[in-house]
Amino acid sequence: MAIQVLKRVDHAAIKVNQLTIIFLCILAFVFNMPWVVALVALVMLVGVLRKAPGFDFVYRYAALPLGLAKPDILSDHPEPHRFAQLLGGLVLTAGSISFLIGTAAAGWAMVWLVIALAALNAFGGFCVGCALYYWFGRLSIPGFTRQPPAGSIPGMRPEG
Amino acid sequence: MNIDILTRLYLALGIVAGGILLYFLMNKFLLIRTRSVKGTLPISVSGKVAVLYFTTPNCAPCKTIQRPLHYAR
Repeated sequence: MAIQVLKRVDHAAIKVNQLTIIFLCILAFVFNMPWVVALVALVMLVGVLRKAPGFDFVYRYAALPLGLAKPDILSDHPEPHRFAQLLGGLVLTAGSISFLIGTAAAGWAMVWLVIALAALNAFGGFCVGCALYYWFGRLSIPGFTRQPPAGSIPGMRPEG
Repeated sequence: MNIDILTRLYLALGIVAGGILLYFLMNKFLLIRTRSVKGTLPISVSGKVAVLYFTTPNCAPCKTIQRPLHYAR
């Protein structure tokens, strides 16, 4: 078994990212603004390419300076979180396409799915996308090379 | 305020409240299930020290790693 080197992952940045996604998606739903959903999807996918939480600028330039969040750095793998963000971004992209082709109900269902999963991660500490990543790893699917940090349940926030 | 926005706001509040309720009920269900299983473990019946370990018939690493514990006095 290969030795896995954990990195320092700021879970506060991930949490602020998710809270921003939840807030913007609910705002988009209430004010019926599908373009906001497309914008959130774009920011999330760009975040995947940047290898960072999409809305990390909210964390760095608003949440941290205003004292709304404190760094919460844990030893973890960043890849599963990136994969979770990719999944969320793809679901919101599919939702945006649904709006374009006139199936708004399907679009909003996808938006609420992302809201539910982001809320589960932000408030419950369980990342479904990360759990999927580790599950794919167990199935030896290429590209899913990381294993859960020792002593942690796959997908759950690691201790300390 | 636009009636459509108000309707959507109430719908959003309903969905959020439903989600919170579902999460709360799920946690309650898991706690109740865990409590009902707790008393069935052999350790709680015998009152003696017991080793609880997890493996499968083909899990060589599980057996290898846990073997020293089996022979510990």
